[in-house]
Amino acid sequence: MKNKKFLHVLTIALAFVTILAGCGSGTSTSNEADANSGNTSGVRKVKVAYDQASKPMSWLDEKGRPTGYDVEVMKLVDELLPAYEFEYIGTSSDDLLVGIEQGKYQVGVKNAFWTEERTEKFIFPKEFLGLSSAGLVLKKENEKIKNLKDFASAGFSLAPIAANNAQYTIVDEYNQANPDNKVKLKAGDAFTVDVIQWVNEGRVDGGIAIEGAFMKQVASDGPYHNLVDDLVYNEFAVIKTWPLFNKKEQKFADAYDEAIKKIKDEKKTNELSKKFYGRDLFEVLGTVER
Amino acid sequence: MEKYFDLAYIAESVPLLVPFLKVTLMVTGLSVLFGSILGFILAIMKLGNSKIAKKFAYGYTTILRCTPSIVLLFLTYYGIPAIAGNFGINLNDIDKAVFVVITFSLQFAAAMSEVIRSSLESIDRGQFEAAVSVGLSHTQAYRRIILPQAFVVALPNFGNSLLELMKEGSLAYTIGLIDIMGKAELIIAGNYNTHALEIYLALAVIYWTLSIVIEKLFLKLEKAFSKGKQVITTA
Amino acid sequence: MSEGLDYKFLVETFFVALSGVPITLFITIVALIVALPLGFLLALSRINQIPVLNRLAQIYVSFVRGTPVIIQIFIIYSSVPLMLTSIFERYDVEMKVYDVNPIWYAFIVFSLNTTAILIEVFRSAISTVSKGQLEASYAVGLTTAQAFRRIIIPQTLVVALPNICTATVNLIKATSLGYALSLQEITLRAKVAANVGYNYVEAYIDIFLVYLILCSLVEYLFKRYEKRVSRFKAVSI
Repeated sequence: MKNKKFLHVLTIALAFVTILAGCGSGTSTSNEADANSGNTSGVRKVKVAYDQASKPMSWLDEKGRPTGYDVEVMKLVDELLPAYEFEYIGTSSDDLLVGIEQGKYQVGVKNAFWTEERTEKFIFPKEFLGLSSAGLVLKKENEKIKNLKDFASAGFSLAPIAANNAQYTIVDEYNQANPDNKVKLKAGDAFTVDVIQWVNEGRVDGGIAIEGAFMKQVASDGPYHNLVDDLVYNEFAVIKTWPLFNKKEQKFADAYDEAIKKIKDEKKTNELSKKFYGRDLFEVLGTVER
Repeated sequence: MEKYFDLAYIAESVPLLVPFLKVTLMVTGLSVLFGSILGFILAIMKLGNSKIAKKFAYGYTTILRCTPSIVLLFLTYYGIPAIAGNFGINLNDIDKAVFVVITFSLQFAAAMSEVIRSSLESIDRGQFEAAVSVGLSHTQAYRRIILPQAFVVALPNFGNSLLELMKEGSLAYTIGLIDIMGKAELIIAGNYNTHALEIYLALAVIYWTLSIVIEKLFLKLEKAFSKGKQVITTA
Repeated sequence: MSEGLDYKFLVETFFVALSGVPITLFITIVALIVALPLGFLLALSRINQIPVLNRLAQIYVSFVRGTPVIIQIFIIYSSVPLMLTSIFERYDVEMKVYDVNPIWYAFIVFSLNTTAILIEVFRSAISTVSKGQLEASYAVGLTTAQAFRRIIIPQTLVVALPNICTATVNLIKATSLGYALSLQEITLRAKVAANVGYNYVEAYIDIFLVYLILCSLVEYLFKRYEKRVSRFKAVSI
C-alpha cells in the first residue's frame, strides 16, 4: 500500500519535471538565436560573474556599477582581449559557484582561493588574479594568538563561515592536518555574520576576516572606527586569489593568462591592491605558499 | 548596545530600499497572475471526472506544499536549465527574475488550487441545478451564479496566500536577485557587513507597512463584493 | 551538469540530509508546545477583547504575518544577545549570553512565529463554536474551566485541526532557514556535504526528498487523527 503510494508520487514527480522541461523549451528559442549571432561577429560575449556583496573585493556600488579589486582587474583583462567582450553579472556567492559550473557564467570572481575540490569543477588558470590577506580578528587582549594553531590550542570559538567559502576549507584542511588540535569550525551563512561585532561582544572569541575588509571597517571613516583600539587583526596567511573558469573555457583561460601577465608586469595590480586593500600585497609575494 | 546600534542607519536605508520595492512587487504580481491561472486549472482537474487528472492535481499540491521555497527556488533555477541543457537548449541567458517568477507561480498555483477548489465546493450544488432549471446553459450557470459567489468566498484566502507569496519572495536574494531584500544585502555589504540589524529593521518596517496596506485593501474588496452577494441572494 | 548527476553523492547525501531530521523535528515540537497553549490563550484574549492584551496580540500577529521569516530570524539573532548583555550588565548578572547554543534562537523565532499563526487559527475556530454552548454548559452546572476543558476546547481543536496541520507543515519548511542560525538541520547539513565537491544540485534534490517525505508523513498523521476525532465528534452529536 505504502509502496504503491510512493511509486505514485514518483510518477507524478517525473511528470512534473517533464512539464517543466516542456515549458522551458518554449521560451528559449529567441535567446539562442541571440547567442549565435554574437558568435558570428567575431567578438565573443562572455559573462563574468562577481560576488555583488563582498566589498572591497568585489561589489555593486551605490550607483549600480560593479567594482572592487577583482572586478577592476578583470576590466583591465577585458581591455587586452579584443576577441572577448565582458559582461559583468552580480550575484550571490552560492550562485556564482553553481552558475560557473553549469555554464551560466563563463568565469567568476569572488576573492576565490585555490582548493583541491574546486579544481574538479572549475579551471584554474596558470596566473593568479590577486592576493588576499587572511587573518584572525581578535580582542586586543588575545593579541598573542598569531595563527590557527594558537587559536586551536587556546580552545577559542570561531565565528561561523559559509560552507562554500574557501576560508572554511582552509580551516578544515588545518583541522585534518592537526587532528589533535582542531579549531572549532562551524558552517553558517556568511550573510549574517558581522565578525567584528561578534568578536567584540564576545559572541565568539575570534573570526576569520580578509584584511582589506577589516581595515575599511575600522578606518577613520569606517562604521566601526570606535572599536579600532579594542580589536586586532593578525594575518596568518597571504593567499592567492583566482578567477574560476567554466570547465569548457580552457581557451578563454589561456587568453586570460596572457593578459594578466602583462597587467602584472606593468604593476597595475599593485596599484589596485593599494587602492582597494590599502596595502600592496604583491610586496610579500615571495612568502605566499598557497 | 549603543556601541553597535545606530538609528541613523535605519533612516538612511529606507529611501535606498524603497525603489527596489518595484522588483518585489513585480515578481509578486506576475507570480500571482500565472499562479492563479495554473491554480484554476488544477482546481478544475481536482473537481473533474478524470481520475488521472485528479491524482495529478492532488499529487502536485502535496509535493509543492511539502517543499520549502528556498529548495524549490534552487531546483527551478538550476534544474530547469540543466534539464533543458540535456535537450540541447540553452537557457543560461534568461534573467534570474524569470526563474523566481516560475518558482513562485508553481508554489502559488498549489495554494490557489486548494483555495479555488474549496470555494467552488462551498457553493451549494443546488444553486447550479436551479440555474440550469431556469434555462441557463452550464457555462452561463457557472459564469453568472457559481463563480461570482465562489470569488467572494475565495477572497480572504487569496489575500493570505498573496501575502505569504510576497514574504517568501524575499528568499530570491539567495540566487542574487536584487529586489528589496537583495538591495538590503548590498547595503550591508557596502557597510562591510556591519550594522546589519538596522537594515533588517528597516526592511521589516517596509514589509510590514506593505502587508497592512494589502490586508486593508482585501478587507475593502471583501466588503464591496459581499454587498454584491447580498443583491444576488435577495434577487 | 552536462556530465549528469553524481548518483553516488546523491545517495550518500540523502542520508546526511536525513540525519538533520531529528533537529528539525525537535525545533518543530518545541515550537508547537510553546505555541499551542499560548496561541489559544491569546486567541481567547482577542475574542473577549481583554483591553491591553487584545491590542498587543493584534500588533504582534500583524507584525509576524507581515514580515518574512528570514528577516525575523536575522533580527532576533542579532538583537536578542545585544539586549540581554546590556540588561545583564546593568543588573550585574554573571551570564555568558554567547555560550548559548543557536538552537535556542531557533526555539524563540519559531515559537514566536507559530504562536502568531495559531492565534489566528484558534480565533476563527473558537468563533465557530457558538456562544450558546458555553451558556448551555453553565446551565448544566459546569464551571468555566470545566466547560472549556470538556466542551469548548475539544470542539475548537476539531475545527482547527486542518489549519494546525498546515501551520505545522509550514513550520517544518521554515526551519530550512535555520542555516542563517548555523543550525545543523537538514538543509545546512546537505549544503556542507555539497561543499566538498560542489554538488549543489544533488544536495538540493536530497533536501527536497527529505522534506517531501517528512511533510507527507506529518500530513498523513494529521489526516488520520482528524478522521478519528471527527468520528468522535459525530458520535457525540
